[in-house]
Amino acid sequence: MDVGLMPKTEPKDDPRFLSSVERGFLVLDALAETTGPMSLTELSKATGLAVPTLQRLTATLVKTGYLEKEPSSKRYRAAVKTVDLLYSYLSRNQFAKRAWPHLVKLREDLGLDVSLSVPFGNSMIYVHRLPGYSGNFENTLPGRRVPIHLSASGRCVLSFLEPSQIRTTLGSLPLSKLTPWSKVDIEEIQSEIAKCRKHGYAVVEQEASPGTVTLAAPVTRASSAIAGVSVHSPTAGGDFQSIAERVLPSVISVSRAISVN
Amino acid sequence: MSSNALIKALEVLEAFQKSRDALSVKEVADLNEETQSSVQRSVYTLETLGFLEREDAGKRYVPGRACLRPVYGYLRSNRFLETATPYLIDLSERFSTRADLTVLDGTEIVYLSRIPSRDELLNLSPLGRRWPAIQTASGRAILAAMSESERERVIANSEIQKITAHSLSSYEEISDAIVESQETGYAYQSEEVLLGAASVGAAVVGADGTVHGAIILGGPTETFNDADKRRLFGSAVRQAAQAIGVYL
Repeated sequence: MDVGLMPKTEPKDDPRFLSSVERGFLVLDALAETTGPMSLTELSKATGLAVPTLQRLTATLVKTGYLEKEPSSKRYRAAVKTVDLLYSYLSRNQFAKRAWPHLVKLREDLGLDVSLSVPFGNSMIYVHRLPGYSGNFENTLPGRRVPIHLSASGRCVLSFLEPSQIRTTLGSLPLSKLTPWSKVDIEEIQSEIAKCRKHGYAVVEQEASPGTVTLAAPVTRASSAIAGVSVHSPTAGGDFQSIAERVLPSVISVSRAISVN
Repeated sequence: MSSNALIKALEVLEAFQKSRDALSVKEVADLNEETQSSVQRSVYTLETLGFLEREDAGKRYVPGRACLRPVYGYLRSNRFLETATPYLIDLSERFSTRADLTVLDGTEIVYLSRIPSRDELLNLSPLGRRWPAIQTASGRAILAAMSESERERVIANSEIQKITAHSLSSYEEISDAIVESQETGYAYQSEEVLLGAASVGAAVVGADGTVHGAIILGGPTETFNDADKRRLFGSAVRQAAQAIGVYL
């Protein structure tokens, strides 16, 4: 799947492709999928890699500072150096930099959680996440991934594809559920994407995170969508229709301001 | 026993932390003192995985969106950050100013959270920004809360950097500032890292005495020039830091 800014995936069977590099990052990704440290056995289950391979990879990641081994439990956890990777992206990416002050203002205007996410594989990944209220902690962090079909900004990004492309893309995804409200029926998701295409924004209610309603608008470059600006509100916050009417003009205006021609 | 290919790929990513610009394969090779063909393989793999992206579809690279991912595991498992986040939001709301959280890594402080304020648009350094601990309010608050031997070790390994004209430039000034923050319970700096910006920071110490990091209130220097306001902000971060520490 190639959506907007997403890097072109070249074949991994190219002789230049180094699979041990991919495996090393699989370890860090497994740790991002769960809370708390993991043992080699747990890492093996999560990554599908053999324990001896993992011993080598974890030793390398400890040596380079990205991983720490808890002396008491022999479990591994991501180390503070992983923050440097985030920083190197945020400080060099012109788009992420340009978007920040707009998001700060949007958060202040609305008093709600706001975020910017970009497509990454089968997910949307948060570039910025500005907490507006004390909600679920994990929702306040950058780097969180949400399956593209359950993400309001993901549906915005998909809405810029041709209908046939949307069908192919959805057909190729593992349409997983994150909550009891997650839509996993292709027709249903397609109709949500069609609504987004027509109205220029998407609303996702509790499909990615229980208790949260998200409204998103697409950020475009030329004729494709490269990101989504979202506002997140607690479902307990009241009638979402009235919230949507209140937030929509600001969200649309920010998404346009950071779009690129 | 370690994976050389993985080490080299991580070094390629780290080369981008040493440079402010997009880099070509040759420039990375020069920075890392590696052959271009070795760097080429790392770059190819990192681009395929999304850790590098081409700038404007050209031949030069910038860190890619996959770089956003590994930190999520670190942040979501961080109890200090989790406990402190509602306090940061509350501080930021109450004082209409920026609230941040830092931890000490070696001789540097690293930003793990920023609750922004509209008035603070000038201060755009993103998450993960590092500064020498001795030159910052939060770093000195952390040092002030540590045991003397640990503090001395960090200071001995630190080098004084003149980041702005206002940066403290002698060990004596730094040690005076640390003593002062031990007395008041919070540390203060004005324009030492960024012109026009000042902050107060207080260390968060767990029930077992572990120093977890610091929380900060920051804003324009005008706000902090007023001694009453500075004390008000200072005691607010001190109290919040104490409240967070109880849970850790």
